[in-house]
Amino acid sequence: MLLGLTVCGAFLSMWFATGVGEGRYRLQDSLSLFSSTSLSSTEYTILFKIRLPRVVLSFLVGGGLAVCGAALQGIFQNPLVDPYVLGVSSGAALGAVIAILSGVYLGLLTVPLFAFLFATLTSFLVLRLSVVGKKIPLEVLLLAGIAVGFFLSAFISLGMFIAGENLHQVVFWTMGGFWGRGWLEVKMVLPFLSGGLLVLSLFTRELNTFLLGEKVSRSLGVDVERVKKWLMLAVSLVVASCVSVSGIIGFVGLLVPHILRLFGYQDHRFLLPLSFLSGGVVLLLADTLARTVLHPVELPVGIVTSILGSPFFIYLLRKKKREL
Amino acid sequence: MRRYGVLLVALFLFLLVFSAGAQEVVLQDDWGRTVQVASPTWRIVSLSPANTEIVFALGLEERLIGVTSYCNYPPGAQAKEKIGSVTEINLERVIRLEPDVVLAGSLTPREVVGKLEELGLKVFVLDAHTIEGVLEDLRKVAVLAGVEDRGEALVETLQEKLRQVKEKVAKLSEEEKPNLLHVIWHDPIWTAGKNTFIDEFITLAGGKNVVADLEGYVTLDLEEVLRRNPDIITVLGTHGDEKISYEFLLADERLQSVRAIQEKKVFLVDSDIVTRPGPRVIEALSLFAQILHPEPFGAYEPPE
Repeated sequence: MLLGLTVCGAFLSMWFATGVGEGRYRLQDSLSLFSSTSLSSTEYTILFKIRLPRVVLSFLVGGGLAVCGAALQGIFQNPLVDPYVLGVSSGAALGAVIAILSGVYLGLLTVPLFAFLFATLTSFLVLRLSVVGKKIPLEVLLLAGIAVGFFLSAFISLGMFIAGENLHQVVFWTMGGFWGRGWLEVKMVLPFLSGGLLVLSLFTRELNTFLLGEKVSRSLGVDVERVKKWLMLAVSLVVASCVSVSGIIGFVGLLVPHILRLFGYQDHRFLLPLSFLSGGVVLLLADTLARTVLHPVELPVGIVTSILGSPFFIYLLRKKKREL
Repeated sequence: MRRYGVLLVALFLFLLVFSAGAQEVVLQDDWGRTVQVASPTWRIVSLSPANTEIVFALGLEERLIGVTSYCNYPPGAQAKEKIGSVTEINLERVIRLEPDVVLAGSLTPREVVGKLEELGLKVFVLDAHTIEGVLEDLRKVAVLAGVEDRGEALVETLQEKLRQVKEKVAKLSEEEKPNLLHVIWHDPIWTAGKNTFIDEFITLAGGKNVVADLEGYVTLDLEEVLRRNPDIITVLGTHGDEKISYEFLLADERLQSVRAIQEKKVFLVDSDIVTRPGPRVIEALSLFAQILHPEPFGAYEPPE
């Protein structure tokens, strides 16, 4: 029931967000989505090639980050885990830095492609580093992720140092945002996102058993290592694709699942899809705000999500901590 | 005994004459700081490419003992000793050069200016925001160096060129002035609104800045670009081989309906000329004039 409501909410927010532009909301713009034939070619381009894909992409990325955050928190049994724990964010940032500074041009998706490549390589490296015998102990994985992340951050800082005149381009990318993102980026994210979501949905019951600890889970017949491998593979690809198109956006992956948990949704069969939908709506609305508040100047989305989301989370935490 | 006496007197007179050339000059720099310097300044360190160009333009290159790694014009500047980049300055090297004055620029961090002063050096900041401001800077450096005449001559030459541009532009009607969008970077699109050099160039060169309603350097929504529909787009090309922004503008399918792109009026401009508040500001103005009005000003040649 709630799921149905959330799905409706998602579509409603997307429809609403498409009507936001020029610093304000215009009902007419939202309605124009359905009567595309009556639009001038400029208005058509603006609505269908600039706003709509951006709205869709921010929803997909928000959803992707949130659902991966939820899954990783489930695997790790650790509430502090966010989708970037496998070093994906540092990998993506390094890829972007290299793409920007080297001046290599392979078309409009050059930077996202580099970011994606480095992001996936990084997470595979971290996973590989964490293999002990036939298992991947979680403590080792976390530490490997942190270590690799630090290592790559050093190179990113080095890149920024030598960037000189290109510094603001690098910084802008790392701050995250959806400026100019269109259907091209949506097409890049969609295959990885849908594949990843499919895999995640297959393991919701196993994730539920993880809540009781790995030992108990194993005793219930779950092939813990196999599940972990599949899940982390899926998560790596999803997060890598998200970060490569949008830069590094915090808060959504970490806190949206927690907010849902505070409302009582521990069962991963509901938590995962709800995380996806809520995360999508949150980032969508944040991005809409980010491009409206100081129109025509844009705020980096990550700033909006953190400024608005964190106090809300603190409020919820204070209210509910006695129940925890 | 007498011979020594004569020698002493001669030495004394010599020193007197020599020191009489040095006077204390008090000037206000562009950050409002009042700086007292012993003029003429014989040893000059420049902390920005624009200032290096100013020093060369005043014929003072022999006095220039330190430049940044970004100082590439005129070619002679590249042979000078490097004291760091525009923002990362090697304080030790600057101190060792024992300059009479350090010409800081708009991008020099305030801490660096403070630190150099603390270490006993004279720092003069050049941070002009208009063409007039640049001409004023030229005069000030000339005063510091004791070459006021050369300064005035240079300013006069530049003002004459400026007058010529203004004359030709005055003959144009409002309708003949194209709408221009200057693109500094493409992701997001950074452009220059009012109270910037770019805006001044565009306006004086007989064009209309499509973002003249916005203040300073701003980012622009993609849909705003479509709505404002510029007739001409200028793109900042950093050092020639990074044409990423230029490629993006021509390749992105959503921008195909923009007039400038349809009529292929997208021009790469050399950032070394257009972003430096130095003697080449008039050349920058001429570049924009050529782009906007090839008729009276001549065809524009993009950099390569």
